[in-house]
Amino acid sequence: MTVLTIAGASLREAWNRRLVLALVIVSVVFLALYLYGAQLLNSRLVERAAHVGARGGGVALARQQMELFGLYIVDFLASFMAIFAGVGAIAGDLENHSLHLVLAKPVRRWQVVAGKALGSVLVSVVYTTALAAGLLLGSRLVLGVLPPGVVTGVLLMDLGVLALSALTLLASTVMPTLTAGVAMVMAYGLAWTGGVLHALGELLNIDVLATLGRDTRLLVPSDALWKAGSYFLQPPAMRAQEGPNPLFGVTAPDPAFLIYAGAYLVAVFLLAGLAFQRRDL
Amino acid sequence: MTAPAPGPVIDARGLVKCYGRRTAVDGLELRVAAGEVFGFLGPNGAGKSTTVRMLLGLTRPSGGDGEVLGRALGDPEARRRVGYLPENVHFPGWFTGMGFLRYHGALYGLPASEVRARAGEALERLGLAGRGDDPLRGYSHGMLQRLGLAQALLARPRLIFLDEPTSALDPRGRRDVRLLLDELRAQGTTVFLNSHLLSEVERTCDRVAIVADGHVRYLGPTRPDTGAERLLDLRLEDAPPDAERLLVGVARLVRRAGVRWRLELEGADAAPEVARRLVAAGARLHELTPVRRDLEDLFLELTGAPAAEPEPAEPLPDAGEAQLLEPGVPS
Ligand SMILES: Nc1ncnc2c1ncn2[C@@H]1O[C@H](COP(=O)(O)OP(=O)(O)OP(=O)(O)O)[C@@H](O)[C@H]1O
Ligand SMILES: [Mg+2]
Repeated sequence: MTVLTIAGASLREAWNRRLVLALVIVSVVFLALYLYGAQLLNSRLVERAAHVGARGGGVALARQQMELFGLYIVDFLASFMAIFAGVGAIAGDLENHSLHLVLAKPVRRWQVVAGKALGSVLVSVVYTTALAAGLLLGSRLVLGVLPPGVVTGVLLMDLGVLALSALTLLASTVMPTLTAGVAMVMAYGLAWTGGVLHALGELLNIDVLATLGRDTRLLVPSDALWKAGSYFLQPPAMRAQEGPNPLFGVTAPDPAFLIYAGAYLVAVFLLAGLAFQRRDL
Repeated sequence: MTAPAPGPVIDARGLVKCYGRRTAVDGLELRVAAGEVFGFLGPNGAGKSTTVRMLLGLTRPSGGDGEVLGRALGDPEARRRVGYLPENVHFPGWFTGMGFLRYHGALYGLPASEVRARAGEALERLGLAGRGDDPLRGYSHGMLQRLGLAQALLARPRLIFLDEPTSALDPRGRRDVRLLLDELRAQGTTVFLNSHLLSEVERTCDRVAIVADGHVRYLGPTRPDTGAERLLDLRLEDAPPDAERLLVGVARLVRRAGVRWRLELEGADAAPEVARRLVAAGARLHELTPVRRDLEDLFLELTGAPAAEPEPAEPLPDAGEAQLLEPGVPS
């Protein structure tokens, strides 16, 4: 009950501090821009295809790439939303002493962390899913494409964003807000770099590089989870043509990693609870 | 529900808190009985707020332990009937007054209808009725402090910690708080009050502790009887240069500012002898006023001088019996 009360207050805060409004506005602008671009691309493609008398293959691929790139940006936006909406969850409330008032009630520390976690899980999942759904729907209407594994793909995107949310909450329990923000952007960059190194290693057949890049996902699994999701968000023909690349996944995610990612999420949330339990106010 | 705890409501046994190399609270011994209105005084940085935070389980002691309402420090159940107004509270501007109270009431685990009723009552009591639906960003500083107090009353507390509750209040607000404290006393609520307003403390508290450098320096009734009527204020002109020596055996100079002298008498009826000796030595004595040492004198005396090595603070006196805990204060 207390957990729900605290989660409810953090959601109300997001609403009242216009976070929701800002997200809606930015997302609408993003989607409008994307769809306008998609529309433009589509009409040019159709024009040119008619001009050279080509068959549909190349055109379809270009449409699917456009969509996948759009989803990449969805993932990017959602990741940064999760980081910046979450860095103050505990740290901010400690800095302005509002948690002192909460913790002077018959409230346990873990309940505060669980409430904040619940709030950020909800915001992350709803936002990622809604933005991805908007983009997929728009693409379906404008480009006439729909990737095969939509549900699996979007769920994995959610999981990737959640990994960042969890890590952000942990950072927020042990660091001041600003530091947590910086640390989280660096964590995001680390995961991204790992993805790039992995792709390079594969491309150039440098095993050490490929392994090093891949294992970064154990620290911050967000990028690898996006790759896993994007695997399901493209038709097989497209994956075959791409080969190793730093943006999209072309090999099926290995189940052991997905299990690891689930366990990671739980472990990081638990760690945040533990860290806060030990923290002196 | 629960019968009043048989033991003390607050029992601190050698509480220590260190921040790095700085010791904020240094072996604090304190017992507060049920129903007492207890003043906790001391200069800035003495460790008052840190003590309250330790008693509430917000800050973990570096040493010592204690109990609040019969439960170990940090036990969340102990806080079910505890109210707290911290010294710096943050009031999220987007909450309405009522929303703020309902949130904090819900954290006590009270049912929603009960919370609503109590929140309305508390707003009324703190003079905020009619402002409950306004967002807090539109509240004045004093109104926020009133809201903080309303928040501290939600649990119908058996023990309430108020850390400088009147610092932002207007005179009427201060009086209201005084009346509120009287009301709480009548209900048997134990009040732990941190305040720098000694006149207020004198008017409201049964007993006080004065702390400095993390030690209890005085623990006793609010109107200290030690040295009562044994101070003498003089207005003295043409005082002989050896006046101090002249008074040996009857009085000791406490301080002197121009023609104003303060003496501490060595015997209860030494005043006439002081007057006689000074006049005989040719001084012109304009005024001679016996003064009762008040809380401010005691406070300044105990906290003004650089800290001497304090003695262990045990054994604690019972309520009503004063004890000076600083060595070097003549008795
Ligand atoms: N979180 C903290 N980190 C480091 N030092 C602290 C912390 N909190 C308090 N202190 C130190 O502990 C000492 C006691 O502080 P505290 O806030 O308890 O004083 P106080 O008696 O409440 O003073 P005031 O009358 O100014 O409110 C001070 O020296 C302060 O600098
Ligand atoms: Mg203080």
